[in-house]
Amino acid sequence: MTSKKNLSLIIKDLIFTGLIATVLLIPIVGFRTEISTTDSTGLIFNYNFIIAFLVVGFIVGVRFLFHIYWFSKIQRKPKEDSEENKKNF
Amino acid sequence: MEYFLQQLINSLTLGSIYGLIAIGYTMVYGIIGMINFAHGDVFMIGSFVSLIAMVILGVGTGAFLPLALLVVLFAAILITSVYGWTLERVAYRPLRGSFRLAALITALGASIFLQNFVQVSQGAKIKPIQPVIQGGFTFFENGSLVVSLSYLQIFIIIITIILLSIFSYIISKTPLGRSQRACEQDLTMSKLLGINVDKTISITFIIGASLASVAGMMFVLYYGVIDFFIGFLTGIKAFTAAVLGGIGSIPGAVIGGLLIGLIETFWSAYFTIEYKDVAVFSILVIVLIFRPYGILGKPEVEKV
Repeated sequence: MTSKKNLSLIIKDLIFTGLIATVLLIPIVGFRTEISTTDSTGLIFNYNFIIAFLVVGFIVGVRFLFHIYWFSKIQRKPKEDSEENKKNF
Repeated sequence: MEYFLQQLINSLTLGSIYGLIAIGYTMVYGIIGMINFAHGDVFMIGSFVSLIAMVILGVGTGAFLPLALLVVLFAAILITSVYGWTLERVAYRPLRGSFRLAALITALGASIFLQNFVQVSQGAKIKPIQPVIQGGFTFFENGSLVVSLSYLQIFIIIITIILLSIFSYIISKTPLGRSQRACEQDLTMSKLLGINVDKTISITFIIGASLASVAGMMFVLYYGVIDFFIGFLTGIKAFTAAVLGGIGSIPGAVIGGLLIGLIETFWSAYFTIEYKDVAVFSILVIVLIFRPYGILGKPEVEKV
């Protein structure tokens, strides 16, 4: 597989990870509910979108580092069925 | 008699909620043979997402209540399903070939993680909400004794029946249901026959989480108050329902849920409310001693 293909796969995966992390974190972290002290009708929001997006960024960053780690591991590993290996065998 | 009738109505409502959660436990156990202890917390996430969606849409203050509730329901299903999928993909799939205890410990870890995640992000305080669906039918009124069926109870029971019908259809008539039943019988053989086992398991988690989110929404509407810890006790009770009905059996989970609802409600009504959890968990102990395979479960036959 060419490195260009690898890069596009990594980018696709990172976008997907970011999307999933956004869906997971924005509702629960972004919209912090608090009991209203002024209004007796119920709950109000204390918005935490910055924290939510920071965590999403962190998750995408960690995923990217994993990709780099896996990629470097594959690069280091000799190809099992390469012509050179077959000849040596 | 009137008091009994009222308790019966209440127990059906509570039993429906337990039944919906219990299906998630029993499906996952049926397919991969593990008890997903984080399922109760997925239910808790579902209830929080419902609450947040209700506050965003201003449910209860606007005119289009049925439409708003439908939007809340879809939002809760969508987001909680993603939680269910992620849980399977991140926490359980890497350990699928591992020893059984590893998955169990991971499930407990995932449960504690979700609890703490919600505690930190939403706060430890309870979250109350104003009653959204009010009113109902009164069948009998004699002084302080009233037998009534509220619109909310009707809503809960109808939604449960609709979902269970859809779910039964999926399991019995669709290719997905066939794959699920095949995986339940033999995971390795299903793989050999070309069934995408990973996809089937993921969809099972998604369905379980969706049903838990609906239960979560009903819980918010019915009790009007939630906190980050509701998933633990409700989840364990739903697990008791799954065991009582026969873990691995979907009709058993529903029957178990209704029975647990019945026991809890009648115990609270006729004995003492403080010991209602003791009564429920005593059932778990009794079932595990005398009929470990539950009401509709089949005893495991060891082939020699």
